[in-house]
Amino acid sequence: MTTPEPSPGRTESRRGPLRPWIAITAVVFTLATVLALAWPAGGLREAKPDIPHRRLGETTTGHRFAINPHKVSYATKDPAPAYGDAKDGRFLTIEFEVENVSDQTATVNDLAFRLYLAVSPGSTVIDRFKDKTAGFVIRDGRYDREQLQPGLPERVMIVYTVPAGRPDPTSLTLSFEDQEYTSGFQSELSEWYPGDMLAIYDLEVGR
Amino acid sequence: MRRAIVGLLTGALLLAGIVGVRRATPGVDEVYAPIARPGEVGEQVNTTAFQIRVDRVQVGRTVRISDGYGLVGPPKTTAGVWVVVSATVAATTGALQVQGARLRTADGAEYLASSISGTLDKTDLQPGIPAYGPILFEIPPGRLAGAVLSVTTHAVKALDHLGPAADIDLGLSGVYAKRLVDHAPQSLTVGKVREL
Repeated sequence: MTTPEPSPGRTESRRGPLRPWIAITAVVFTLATVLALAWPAGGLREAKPDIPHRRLGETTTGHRFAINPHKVSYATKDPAPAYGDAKDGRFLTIEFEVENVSDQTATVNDLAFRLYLAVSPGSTVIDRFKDKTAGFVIRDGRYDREQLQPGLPERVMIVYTVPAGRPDPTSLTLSFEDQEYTSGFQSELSEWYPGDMLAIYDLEVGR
Repeated sequence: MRRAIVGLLTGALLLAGIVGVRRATPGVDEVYAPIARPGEVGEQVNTTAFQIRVDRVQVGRTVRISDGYGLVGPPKTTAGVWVVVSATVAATTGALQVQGARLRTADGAEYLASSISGTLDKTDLQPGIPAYGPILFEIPPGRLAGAVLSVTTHAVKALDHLGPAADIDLGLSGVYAKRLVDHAPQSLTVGKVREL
């Protein structure tokens, strides 16, 4: 009994050039692997540009607010006493021109939540919740309004206390974060969520 | 060949159908929006929680609040114009406030009523006891045309999902809105809320 010899044609096809489906599968697999590795690192999107540094009087526009800080000052007397009762302490006051560029009413508090502050010397971080003592629209010489209506620019003042034991501030680094009205992780209903950092203001603190 | 063409066409039709249904499906925000009853100026609108009738719409450059004893407060300015909506509201089943009073403009922007105290939207309403008074709004003058009054019971939208609402057409046609703005008085004095 003899073993039949393989036909010359079959041997040629096995050892010959790659079949098309093998080549396509290999290309698809390679692409999928590259994408799977690239996605956790930010996908194939364009890298975010560096956060721009701005100065007093320059405007930054996000999805909710356009802000233009025009005065930063330090005081040892409460510049905005609530109901006439002045607080003790040292105060940092920032005045802005603000326009609500969204389509919903906002408040000065909504803006204050998206501002991050650090004062020098000492690089002291001012807590945007704990150290904020007042925030309001300056109108009619009174401090009793805090709404920011869409398309209506306002002068806004936000007051913070300077933490005790720190030197008197001479400069302020103010970072402004965007907000976007979108659905989030907690709910499919749209809400305002923090967005990208839009600008860093390098500001001198006046007296 | 013919079978392949029929198959391709069927596939394309099914795909178009899927895209159409997907686009026609309301988003989550629309699905959970307050259940609004429509109305217009002078008409009583009944919701499950309150009844409301808009009696008058005025526009002014500044407003002054009268305290009911003849004393008038200082003028309050605005970067836009004041829209004063005078309305009568009554709760139907339980005490409430109509804090979610908004002017919805033609471009989709929503202006929550001013935070100035003593207005109708900040008044406690008891069932069956109607109250009459002003609701104040600040808006850019160019956005007045086509504005609709939307009223719910909460200022925070997330608390109004599927809640009662009234959408009232204020009859602000382009011509009428322009006339209101052009002839807006420098100062408009509005009275306090009173129970009827």
